[in-house]
Amino acid sequence: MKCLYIKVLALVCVLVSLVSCERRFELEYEDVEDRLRVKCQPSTMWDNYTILVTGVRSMGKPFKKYKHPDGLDVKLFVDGELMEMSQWQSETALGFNVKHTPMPGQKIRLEASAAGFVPVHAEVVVPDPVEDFEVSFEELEDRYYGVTLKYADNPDTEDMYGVVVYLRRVKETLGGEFVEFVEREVCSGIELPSYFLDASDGILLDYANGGNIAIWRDTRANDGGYQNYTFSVRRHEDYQVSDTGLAVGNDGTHVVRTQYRVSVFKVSKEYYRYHFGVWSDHNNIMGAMGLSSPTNTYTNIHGGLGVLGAISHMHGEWRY
Amino acid sequence: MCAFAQPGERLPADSVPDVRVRHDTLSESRITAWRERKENRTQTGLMKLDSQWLNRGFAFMSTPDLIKSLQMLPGVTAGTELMSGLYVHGGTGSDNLFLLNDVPLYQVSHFAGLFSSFNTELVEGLDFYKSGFPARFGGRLSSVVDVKTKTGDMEDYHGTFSLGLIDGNISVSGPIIKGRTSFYLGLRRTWLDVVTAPMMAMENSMSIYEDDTSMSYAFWDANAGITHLIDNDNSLALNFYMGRDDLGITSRSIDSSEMEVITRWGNILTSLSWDSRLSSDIYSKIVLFHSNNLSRIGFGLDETIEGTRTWTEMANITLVNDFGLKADFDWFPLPAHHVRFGGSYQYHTYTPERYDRMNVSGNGPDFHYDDTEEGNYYGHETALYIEDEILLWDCLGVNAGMRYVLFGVTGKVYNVLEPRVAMSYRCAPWLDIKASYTDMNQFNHQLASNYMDLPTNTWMPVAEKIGPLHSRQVAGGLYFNLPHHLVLNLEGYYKTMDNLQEYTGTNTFYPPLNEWEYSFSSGLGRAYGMEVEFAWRTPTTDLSAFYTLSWNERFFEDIYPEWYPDRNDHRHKITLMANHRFSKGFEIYAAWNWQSGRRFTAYSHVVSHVYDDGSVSYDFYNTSPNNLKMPPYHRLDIGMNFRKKTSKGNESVWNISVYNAYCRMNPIMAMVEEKKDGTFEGVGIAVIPIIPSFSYTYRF
Repeated sequence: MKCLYIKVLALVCVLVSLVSCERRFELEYEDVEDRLRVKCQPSTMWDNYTILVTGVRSMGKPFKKYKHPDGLDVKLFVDGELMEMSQWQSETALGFNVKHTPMPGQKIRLEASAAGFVPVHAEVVVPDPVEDFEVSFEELEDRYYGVTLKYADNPDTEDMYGVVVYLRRVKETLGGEFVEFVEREVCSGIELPSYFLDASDGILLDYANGGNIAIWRDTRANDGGYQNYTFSVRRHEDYQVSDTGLAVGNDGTHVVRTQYRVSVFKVSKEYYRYHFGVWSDHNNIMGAMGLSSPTNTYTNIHGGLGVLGAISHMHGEWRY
Repeated sequence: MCAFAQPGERLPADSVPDVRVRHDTLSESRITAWRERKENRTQTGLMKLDSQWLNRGFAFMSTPDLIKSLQMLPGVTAGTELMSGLYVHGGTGSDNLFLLNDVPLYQVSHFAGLFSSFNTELVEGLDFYKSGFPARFGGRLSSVVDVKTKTGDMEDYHGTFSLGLIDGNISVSGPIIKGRTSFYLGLRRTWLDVVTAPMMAMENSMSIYEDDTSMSYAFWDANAGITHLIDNDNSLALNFYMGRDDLGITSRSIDSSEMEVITRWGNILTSLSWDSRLSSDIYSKIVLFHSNNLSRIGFGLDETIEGTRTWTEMANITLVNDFGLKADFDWFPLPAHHVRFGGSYQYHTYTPERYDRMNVSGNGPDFHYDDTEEGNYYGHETALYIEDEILLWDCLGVNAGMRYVLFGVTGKVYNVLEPRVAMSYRCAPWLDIKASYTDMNQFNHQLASNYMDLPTNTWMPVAEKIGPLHSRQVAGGLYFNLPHHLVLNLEGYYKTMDNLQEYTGTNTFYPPLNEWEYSFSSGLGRAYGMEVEFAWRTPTTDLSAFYTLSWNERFFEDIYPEWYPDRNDHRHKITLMANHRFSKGFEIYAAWNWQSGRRFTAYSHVVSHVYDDGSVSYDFYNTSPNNLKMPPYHRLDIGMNFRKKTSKGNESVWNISVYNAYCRMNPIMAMVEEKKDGTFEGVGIAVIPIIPSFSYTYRF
């Protein structure tokens, strides 16, 4: 099969190269100004969050002529109130820590400006959390687990969700008394249903900034205000440890058991669209071949790039 | 006085001709020249093209091409060069209603879009609507291409034989029963497979691999029809069309195993129509039809394992089957009224990804799997319409109509009302002012993950979560009939579209379709612009200039939070066409086309990371979709026809055509590359050079 592909591709390449030629032309963008890239994703899970700001050079401008943002001014408002921030700097970005626990329904507005860059602004509303959800969990072969969520969903609104599965192993007495953690909070890669990505086996999503959060949008049929969402999760092989010495009966007094916990997030549309765009860009096979447009990476930063997203979370309990 | 009765149209009362006179010979087309037929219509955006115009003009590879001829017209964008894209007034390319003898056609091109499916030797004429759609048309958003084929000669036998560089064409027509029944038959086929076979043989001989690979490609189409005059008031017509593309790749390995990939796609249309004069002022046309669109990508593996021969065959099949019945009535109740009414019912079956697998091992089949029933979608489309073309006063005409559509699909029923109004006011004998409003809905979507017209593109019906495509369009213009054979038309339009679909999932050849609506985003579109047509037309010379100024924008909230330009947002388009007949035996034509470059999404910004060792890495971004413009597109096509008539009245025609005469290398795709100084530049890949060709046609 591989040989066939190579030969056919070679033939096509020969045919194309016989008549094709490269033609260099001047880039004609709508704008060539330098931009600010902002990334900020507050979560109700934490009592602080970070704003990362980076200068982004226009590709029409030589590297030598580019200057990093100078006199960067960043403001963050929560329901119109200006928040205090502490600043720090890394090699590539300026960071701002915000002491604030986002609450559902709060409107967060971000403004940033710097000399030589287009001023930016963005807004997001912290979504309401998922009110209630149930989980069924099934251990499958080859480090896979099947997870089914049943959660309350308003059929009249379009909502975006995320989920994280935590796994850990605990050593207990036969009476169920905790002894020690064998592995702690192994956050696994998550596989999404086939309509979200192609049906290739073994694809583990690892969103650059969203960690192992699997995200999906609520366009499914509703059933009495509840939805079922099924996905599989696979323990990362790096976390697989031999439990030979810890199995039941080894010493007759202890057992090692797998516990799981599922956290369900309601994510803002902006968060979903940005991370979905990043994922689509990485998976745009036709675009890479020149047969379709490269994927545009979504941004809600007006005048700039990046994302201001928000997350409301709800943890489940640790279960066996 | 304004006149609304058109040459070639049915006329009321005593002026209605005998039904049989509508049946022409192949050689004596009575189709009135498009300029003459265009006058005095209430509709805006209507162009009537006849077979003569199609066969005298643009001919890629010396094969006249209906769609590529339409691409020249104002308000139309072609998309990727040489493809059969038809983007009308900001449309998506899959929102054009192609009707072949009143039957919808899905696959309108061959060879991934290189050639259109219409055999122009058999085309009698076509009506091309860009706006002001009458209520009798529906089901697509952006245009109607109503193609009628010729009917057979009732009195004598005629035929055409044509040979081009890559295809051949033969058609015959004549009486079966003189004066009552006639037939026509047309066949067209490429012989690209003859060309590809020796090329593959050369490739195999030079290959470092021991396997042999063969590849062949060909397309063909067939048109056939029988017309029977029952009496002076009734006639029956049976029409058939079949078009296919076949691509086969076979690989034989040294261990005698054989693997083949066979891809086949195309249409089959069958229709039976009954034309009737019910009374002196009512005429009817009833059409029973079937339209089939097939795409089959098959894979076979023949191998011998431990002495047992095993044959595995798999195929991914995409099917659309439409069965329909439509009835159209023309009624002339008063001299100032022409009422059209009717209805249609279509039963659609969409099979988007049928998977068929069979294993044959040893003595017989041991496994067969076909999930046809599991993946079918069914649609019931019922439409009713009525329109009245009214002459209110001497110079004011109105075509007011309404179309009602009921579309049922699993889990959902859609009801829509589509008002249509067109008005025309003749200010002076040389000037008409026209305006129109149309409301259109489309109940299926073409799902494509690439620019090309590949067999992997799939039609799907509306779904519970994704409603019909919907557009509203207003158009208006000034239409001048100037002295000295001069024509000047100015038209403007504004169109909005909603429920447009953009694929946002994994961009592969076959997007996953089992729950397809979750992989697509819905969005809005708007297009507006102005078109100018200026021409000098005499019986021997046709000089035309078309100019289009247009905007074409999209809004997909999932992709970008503001409106952004569409990929086919060409601000300016200019077409200059010339056609001159020097004598009965010699004519030339030329067409020059210039348009603003297409747009594409490209990285526009970069974050540079400089490491301690001096190395640099980049993160690339783009600020908005379709943010970069390609260089302007332009090319010149020229051609000439040498005609010779024999003493028996037969005609031979030599055509010489040159596509892209000055070899302008227009990029069809582009990328961004870094230069030494750290800046970036665009690199376009151009593949279409000058293409000379010739053909020979003999008509008898």
